[in-house]
Amino acid sequence: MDRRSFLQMIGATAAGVAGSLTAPGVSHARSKAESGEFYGILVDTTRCIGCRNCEVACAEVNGLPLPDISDKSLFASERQTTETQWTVVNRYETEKGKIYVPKRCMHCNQAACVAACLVKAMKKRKAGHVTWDTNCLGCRLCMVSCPFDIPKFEYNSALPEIQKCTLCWERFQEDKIPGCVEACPTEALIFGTRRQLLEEARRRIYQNPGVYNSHIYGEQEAGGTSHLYLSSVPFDQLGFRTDIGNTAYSEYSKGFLYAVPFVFVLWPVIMLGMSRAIKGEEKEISEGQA
Amino acid sequence: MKKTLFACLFIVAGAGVILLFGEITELHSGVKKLERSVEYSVVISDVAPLKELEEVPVRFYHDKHVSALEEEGCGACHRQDSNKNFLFTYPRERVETSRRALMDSYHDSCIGCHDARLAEEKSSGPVACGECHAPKREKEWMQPAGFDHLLHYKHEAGMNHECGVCHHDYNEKEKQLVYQEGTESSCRDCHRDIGDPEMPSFRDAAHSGCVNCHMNKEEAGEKTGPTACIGCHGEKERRTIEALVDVPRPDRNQPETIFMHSDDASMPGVSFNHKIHENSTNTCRTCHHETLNSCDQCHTSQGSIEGGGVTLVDAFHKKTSLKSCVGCHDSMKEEALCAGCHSSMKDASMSENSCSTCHAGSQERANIAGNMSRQSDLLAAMPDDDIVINVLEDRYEPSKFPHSMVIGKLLDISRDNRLANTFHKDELTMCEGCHHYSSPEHADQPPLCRSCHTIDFNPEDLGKPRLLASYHLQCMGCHEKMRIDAVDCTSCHSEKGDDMVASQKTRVTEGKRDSQ
Amino acid sequence: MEAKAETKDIRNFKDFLQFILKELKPKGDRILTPFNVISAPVILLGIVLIIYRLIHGLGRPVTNLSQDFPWGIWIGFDVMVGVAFAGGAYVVTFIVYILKVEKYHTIVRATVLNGLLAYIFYAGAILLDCGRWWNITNPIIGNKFGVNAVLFLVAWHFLLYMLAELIEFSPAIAEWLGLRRARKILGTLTLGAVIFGITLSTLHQSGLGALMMMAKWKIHPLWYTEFIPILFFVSSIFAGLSMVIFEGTISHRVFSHQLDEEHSRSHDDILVGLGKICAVTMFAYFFLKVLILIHDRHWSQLDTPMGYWYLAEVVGLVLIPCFMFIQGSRHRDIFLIRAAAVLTMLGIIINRLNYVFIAYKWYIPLNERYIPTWIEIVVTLCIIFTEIWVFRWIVNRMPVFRKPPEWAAEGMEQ
Repeated sequence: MDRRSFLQMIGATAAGVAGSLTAPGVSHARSKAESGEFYGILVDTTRCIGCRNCEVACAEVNGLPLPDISDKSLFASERQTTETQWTVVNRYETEKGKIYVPKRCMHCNQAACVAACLVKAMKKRKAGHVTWDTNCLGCRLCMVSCPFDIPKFEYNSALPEIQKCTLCWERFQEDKIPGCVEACPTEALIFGTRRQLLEEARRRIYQNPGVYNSHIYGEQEAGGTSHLYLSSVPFDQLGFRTDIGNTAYSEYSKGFLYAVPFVFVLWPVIMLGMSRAIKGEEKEISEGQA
Repeated sequence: MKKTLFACLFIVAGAGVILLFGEITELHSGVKKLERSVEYSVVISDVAPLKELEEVPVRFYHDKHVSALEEEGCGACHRQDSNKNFLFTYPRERVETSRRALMDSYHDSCIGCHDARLAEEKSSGPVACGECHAPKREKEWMQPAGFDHLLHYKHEAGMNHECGVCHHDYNEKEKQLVYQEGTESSCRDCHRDIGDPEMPSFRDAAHSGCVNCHMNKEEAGEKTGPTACIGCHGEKERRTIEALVDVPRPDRNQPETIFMHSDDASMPGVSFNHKIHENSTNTCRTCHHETLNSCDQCHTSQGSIEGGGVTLVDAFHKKTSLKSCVGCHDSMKEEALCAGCHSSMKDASMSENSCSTCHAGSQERANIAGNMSRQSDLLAAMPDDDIVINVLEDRYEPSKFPHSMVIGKLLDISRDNRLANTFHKDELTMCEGCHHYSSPEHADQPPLCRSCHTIDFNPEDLGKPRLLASYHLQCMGCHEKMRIDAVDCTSCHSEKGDDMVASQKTRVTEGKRDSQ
Repeated sequence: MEAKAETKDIRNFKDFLQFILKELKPKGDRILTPFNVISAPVILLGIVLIIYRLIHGLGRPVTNLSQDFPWGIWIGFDVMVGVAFAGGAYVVTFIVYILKVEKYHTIVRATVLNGLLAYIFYAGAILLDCGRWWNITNPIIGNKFGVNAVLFLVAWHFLLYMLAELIEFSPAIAEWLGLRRARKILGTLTLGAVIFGITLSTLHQSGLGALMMMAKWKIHPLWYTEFIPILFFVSSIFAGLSMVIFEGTISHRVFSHQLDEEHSRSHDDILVGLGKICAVTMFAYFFLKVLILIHDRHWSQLDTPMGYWYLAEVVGLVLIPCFMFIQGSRHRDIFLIRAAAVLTMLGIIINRLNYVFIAYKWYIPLNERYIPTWIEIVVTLCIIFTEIWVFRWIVNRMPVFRKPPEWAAEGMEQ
């Protein structure tokens, strides 16, 4: 029996016991997506226990090889996501002891990979999911551009693809929450609209003085991301880049792109003018000599 | 001719490229080298007159300098007063008249000495800006020195109870230090964070007072305290209050109990047991943060400049200040024994009974004897059975929760703790630790967890975890806060039968095969 | 041999076919020249390796690319450097067709041909580097237009610029085929193609730099600046001209029998003139670099190993060749100019590779860094050699260094 059907069963039993207990589910998700609000995940690292159930769920949901979560020695080194593991949990030694941090695509509001892609293979969906499509050329500029080094390329394939977390875009269309969120036993991951998540994050910070670092990682970083993090320690102790800046990465190439139409219009005109002027000059000289 | 030149040029260019690659290799290995050679360095921070810093603060390796300048002695960098005592300020000719002057005095002293030693071909230090003003990521090791009751007692005993060795007053007319018995106070009473020509800062006073004495005694071959930075400022285990219980407290004829009341106040007075509190802290400064005077000397009912604008009410009740009664008591909730319940009830406000617990209005010593009886009625009324929780039944066996054992343990903790015993007047209070948001009156029939916590994740109610998560957060949160082991899956749920384990394992091996 | 193009008239398709077949046969006196002996096996091996790459994918052992270093020498050298070196074409056509400096007319065709081939081969190397190369036409045929992407702009500009250069070079093809009327029409298109080509070059030379803009913290602060596109554009001017000097020097020896007297005579003048232009633009480039360094306040970084590497590039391979160009053109020291051109080219190679994988993620330790595999290097050499073969083939057949046939001479004026 898989977890989902089990939970449904438990739900039914519980409903029988408690009378009219209904599980709200996420049936509202699609209608909300049309409102144009971004969805995302809030990761509360104070709650993460490093069980790596999210890694297993991610693999199950996306048809990736299942990781062996009984191997605790993996925590000895910081792992990066790979083309076959879209989410990884790392452990960090901090001033407040061991803290576990799940890492995956941040789903930036104005994603660098999306801005970099020349065929819109990387796409920011209306509900915030950054997904990849097969019309990609495999140029890997998305990997060069991503401030979080998330897109991974299948180098060892003749028909390679870019692999990364999709925020469970397909499940979202079926009104389901992401696999990792569903699997998390302590609700260190919660799923909702970015606005709700920020509210909840601020509520936790405010209601638990001294527990949280007041910074919500992802609220401003790289112009804001759909993936948000709460932590009890400064984020540089958890392997986060704190020099990402608050500017959306797509802004960095904007200056150049704005210059393009000017060059395109002005250059030919100037050069044509120069060419004519010099030609005229030459004629005058030759006429003068004649 | 041309060909030779051409060849030479290429050789030079080639050599340059090879050298540069060498440099880059060095860069990458250099990172590790740095980590290995970390020594104890201090950030130069006595530069308050500079206000805004232009450059990265300098990390200064004091120990390195001490060993390099062993011959020259402390006098190489520090000035001595008429009594041959060192003033541990830096540099010798410190000028604070202007920003520029202070900067110059630092630069002249450091670079001047480094330059001079370079010229003499002695071991020396950096002379270029970036070598000192370089961002270095070193772990901050420096701790406040801290002078607890035990240290105080040791010093007291070592000086044959001659308090005047350290404690003094300043006679402004005769411009000299005098000692008068019975007026001993905290150093910081006079020596503040920023000094002036008349009154050295606390930092300067402490360094010249302590280190000179230690050095003199060391020279005389007597047993004494540390002279290197790390001796006082190193990371050390803070002595627990329990370890200090038997240490004689500094005796300044302080009263054992005080009845604190104010004529302006409408609340009844509080009987305060000073002696018990002495045994609950490391130093007097925990409460007497500036002077050893009584609170109402500075904190008046309306607030005053001496009291920093903090009113008398706030001085006792400010929840965010560890110097206030309420703040300090509140912080006790974070102790391992208390945090299990209290960390999940952080936002609980004080109840109507809270005031009268202290404001008894009686001059008699506050009654802190156990309010809770040894014989627990609650426990007697409780069914002895374990409670079975089966939310994660797909992978694990149901978890058995020993309800009455847990309550018994919590009641024991509460009874044995003076503070808890004072505030948990009723046994039913203990139920609220887990059964939050439900009134103790309904203790006999508390609502079920799943009455509020839904089975499925609910994106509309992000603040309320679903059932699975709320169990884990509650149980594991308490275990973690109370530092009770068993936060592993199998310590609560035994793993399911072989077929389950086997199927998980085959899935793993299949997964591995896929990835290859 | 020279008379052929003039006498031959192609009247029908059969004639054309015969002509092409005849022209496909190798020319030249000897086949076993040292260059052929070295290049032929490399090209053959390269072709095998390219097929292997298509079957195997990009992973090891083909390339050493990794998740940390997505771009290697196929982008960094073939594309970034190749395109910069091809920049000579737009500069020389600007001088000749817009500024009407007739002195440089003799090198226009060789430069344009060189540029055209560089784009076809080096930029064509993108095809090898693209993981999903069969999708390469997507941005052109509109399987999603990523109009807001810098790379989209660069891709289109590559294509259009190749067309523009083809038009610029087409009179030579027409002369070779003896197509008089077509020659006339194509000749009139030249100025338009030149103006279009220069505009495109400005944008995609700088566009290549703009690709790196979003790798903000991954590129060492000494190299990362918001002015990368401008630096790329300015450096492409002297990179291209240095390539023209370098290529001219070699062609001058190899194809000396094809050069007419006038061409030989003006050669030194041309080199001195190009040297001057290089000197000026390089100084401007150096000045920009200094300005950016001061403006970004990263000078404290100079005293680090990466800082020395930066200084080596900016002083050793920009400022020094710049002075060599100045000295060379002042004293008409052709040797010095050539040496300067070689150093400049080395500087450009290092500069572009810095952006792609040396100063890129400089904080990653050496043993995890990207170092090209032998396959990547052989394939790169294969591409270069093939380009030279094609260049030689065309030069031996079409009037590139040779004087155009007399019937076409009047068309040249336009």
